[in-house]
Amino acid sequence: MVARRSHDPIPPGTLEMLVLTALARRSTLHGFEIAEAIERASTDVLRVEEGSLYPALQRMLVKGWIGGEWKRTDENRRARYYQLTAAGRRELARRVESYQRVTGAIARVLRMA
Amino acid sequence: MLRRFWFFVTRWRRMQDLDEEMRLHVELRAAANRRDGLHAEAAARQARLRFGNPLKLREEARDVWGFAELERIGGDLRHAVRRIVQHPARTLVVVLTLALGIGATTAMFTLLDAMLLKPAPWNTSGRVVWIVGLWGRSAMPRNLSYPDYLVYRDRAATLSGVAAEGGTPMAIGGPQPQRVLGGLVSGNYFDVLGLRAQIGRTFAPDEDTAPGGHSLVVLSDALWTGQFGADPGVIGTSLAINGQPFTIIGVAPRDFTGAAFAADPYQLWIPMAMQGAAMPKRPGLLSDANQAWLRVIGRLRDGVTAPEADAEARVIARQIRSPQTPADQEKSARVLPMRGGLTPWEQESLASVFGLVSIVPALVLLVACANAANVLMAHHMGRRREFAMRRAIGASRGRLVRQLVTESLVVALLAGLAGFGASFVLSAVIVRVGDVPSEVSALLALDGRAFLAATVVGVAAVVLFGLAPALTTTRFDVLPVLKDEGTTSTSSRGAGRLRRALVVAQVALSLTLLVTTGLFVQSLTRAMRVDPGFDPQGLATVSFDLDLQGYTLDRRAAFVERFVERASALPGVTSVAAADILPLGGEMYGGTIVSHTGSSSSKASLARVSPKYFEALGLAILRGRAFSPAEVAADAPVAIVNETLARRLWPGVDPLGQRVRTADSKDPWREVVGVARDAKYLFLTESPLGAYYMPLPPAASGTFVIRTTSDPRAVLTSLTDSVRVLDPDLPIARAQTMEERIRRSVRLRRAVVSLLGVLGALTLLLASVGIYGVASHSVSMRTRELGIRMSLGARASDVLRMVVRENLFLSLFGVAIGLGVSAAAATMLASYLFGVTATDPATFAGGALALCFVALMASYLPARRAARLDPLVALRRE
Repeated sequence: MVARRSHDPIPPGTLEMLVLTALARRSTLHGFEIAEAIERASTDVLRVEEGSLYPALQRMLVKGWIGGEWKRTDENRRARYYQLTAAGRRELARRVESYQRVTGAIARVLRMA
Repeated sequence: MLRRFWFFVTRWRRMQDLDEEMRLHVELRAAANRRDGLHAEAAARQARLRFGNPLKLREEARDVWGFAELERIGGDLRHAVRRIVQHPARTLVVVLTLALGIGATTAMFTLLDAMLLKPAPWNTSGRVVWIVGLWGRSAMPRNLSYPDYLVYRDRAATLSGVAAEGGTPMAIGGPQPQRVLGGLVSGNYFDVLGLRAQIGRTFAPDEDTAPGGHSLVVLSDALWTGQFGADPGVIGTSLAINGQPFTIIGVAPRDFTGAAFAADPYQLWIPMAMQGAAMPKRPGLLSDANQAWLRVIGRLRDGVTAPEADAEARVIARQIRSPQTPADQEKSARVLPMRGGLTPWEQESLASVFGLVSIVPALVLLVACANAANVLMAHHMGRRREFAMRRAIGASRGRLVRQLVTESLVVALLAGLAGFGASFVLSAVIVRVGDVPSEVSALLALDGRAFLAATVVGVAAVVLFGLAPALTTTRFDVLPVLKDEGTTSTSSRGAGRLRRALVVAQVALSLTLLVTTGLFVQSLTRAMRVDPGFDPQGLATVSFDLDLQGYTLDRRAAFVERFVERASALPGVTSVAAADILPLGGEMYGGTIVSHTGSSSSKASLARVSPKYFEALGLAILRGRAFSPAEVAADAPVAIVNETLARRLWPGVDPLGQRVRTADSKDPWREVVGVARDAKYLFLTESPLGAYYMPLPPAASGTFVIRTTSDPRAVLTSLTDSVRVLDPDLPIARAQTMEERIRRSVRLRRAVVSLLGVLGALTLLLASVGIYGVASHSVSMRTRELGIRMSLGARASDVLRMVVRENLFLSLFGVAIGLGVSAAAATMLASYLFGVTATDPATFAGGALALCFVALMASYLPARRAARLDPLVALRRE
């Protein structure tokens, strides 16, 4: 448990991008699945502050990037499944592009150093 | 935005959804932990830990939905209402103060709106305009002559139609014979105004072409209802006007009584071509270009603006100047928007008076706002520790300001409602004291426009009185306020300065109003105290239009004789006299008098009077004698002049026996047989005028003055009865006591005075409340300091003096400014003053003293409270 805590926290603002990416890969997911997906994909390097996922999801719902729909899970539990909207897809593309631009620039700077 | 709103509406379901989602997550995590080998209890605990605080997360989510904003406003409102209820006295002061300001402003606006701004109901498009003449340098609009009217009608390309109206009294027959004001109108009149008859029809454009050939009449709704019981069958029947039969062709729309309905409401209309029948005394009026008696009305062509029509009217005015007459060169014309129901002349002259008077309620509102701001600011200052505490635990300044402004908003809302109510009362008072014509007061509906005005004023008040205190009282450093008492530190200096500035402004404004009111009151009392030259008490006046009734000369003489006989026989009546015109009735025949010596005097008052005229009026004959009955019967060539005329025509020479006549060379030379005392002829406030009296042939009588030792009103009643016996068909044109006539002649002045008086008293009251508020607040703020002073040996009287001195100093500063403003205001009003100069030292000194006294009293009470402080209690008090 202690070992897990030492995982790097998510840089601020990145959480939304990660959620969008997770949803872009797998068409619909509920909250717990999104958390698991982000963790798995980043091979546990990035670690979702699990609760903070929910305000972020609400923010994205308000902005219209994702849609939510109540369905039954495989274990027959009620859960809200999220999927990307067209606006969400555009937002993701925009963010990925700007992220790459920034990291690219930083990488170049680091190479020069 | 819409989505946000939807989220807000469905917030309860959303909250439940979120809770369920988060519960599921924790359960799934716990299940996963169990699969990893943890036992049930530890798995659940670890899942909860990893999830974080659900309450905090819920709050975050709510923020995302934007509920917080709305809920905060709701909270502010609740808080505001709670504070308002907790401090009823403070709330009452603020609400009443603002309500008075808002009420006064709204009432004044309603009045101005009805008189000067609101277009008549039939002119909502504003396309109907006046065309007026201008003469010389005076900017006052004048009427036009019929020939001039024809020029504008035929040449004006910017107007789709040009009509004319001229009012004249007419005697009508029917069930109740009476004298009414009728309109002589061009055939296109109703078309230009855009009016259709409510029954029957109006005139056709060609129905005023043949002189005397169109005996047609359109009735007003009031006449139709009053005389004919609103019987539709009257269309096509005949109505006698000045003894001639006219055919009733229609009834005008219900609310229409002429274009200048507030000034001259018409009861009926006849075509212009019938001028001869309507005004038998003035033949040839329609062809005389020098007789300007018509109000001319135009309708703007589509797409034409009033300034364009105005420019064209000026051009036409230049074209019709005749090159031979030099006086004509100063003639011009203008197109004025038609507003209210006033004549163009009244429109222009009242606009300036009311414009000035309407500044006053605006000032009252300003004072009210300043006061409210002061009270609130004092109140907020007392809460600075609370504010500082809240700032310290994380509230932003904006948050505090918003809360305070919300509080002001609620107060302003209450004040707005109360002010709307107050404006009802105030406009009723203004109508009463201001003698507002009933046609105007009928328009005085507190409608949407008035409500809008009140709202705008209310919002402005909030900005003025709510925001400023909120901003100043929340500007401070948190630490000193918390450590210190938060009362004496330097950081409160800004707020204190603003508060003091407000007091200074209030004192200055109150003084201005006080001084202006004082000047007007003095003008009025001096005007009322002016000696009219005769004794107005116990005088009754009555007049008839005998020629309108078609009386022959013989019949007139017989009627006058019998009327005088009956009037003289009434109990208490001492003398009865006749004249063609009486003084102070708002009209005067003026003319130039020429002496055989060659001297002449213009602008003299002309009158024809019976032998007993001077006796009845109580107008002394200083030299010579009054006319004898024989002279009057024979229209002998004799005249009586007044002192002023005598002095002007024959300075230093005995006027008796001199020979004079009017400038009209057809008049005979008359010998002066008497000199009468100077009197007032047109207004009480006029400068001395010459007067020229000629004998009045009995058959020309129509106006009588009756002196009685009893109540002149009672005499008027009995006179009306005796006229009914003499000729049941004869309407009485005018019956009033001389004192009523005089009161009417100062009615505008009286209206202004009563208005200013009420408002002035109001501001003085407000100012004293304001000074008291500031003084008592500063005392309570400085309780500790005063306690220290007293424990160090200051005596009660020292403290008293100190507090009073400070406030008095502020007031004196305000007085100084106020004196300057008053002087400026009084100079602007100088032309409305009478018998008192705009810089009357007594009035200025009196106003200043009155204010100082009020300031002294208002600061004495809190000072006494300060002086009675127990130093121990004061020091211990937090």
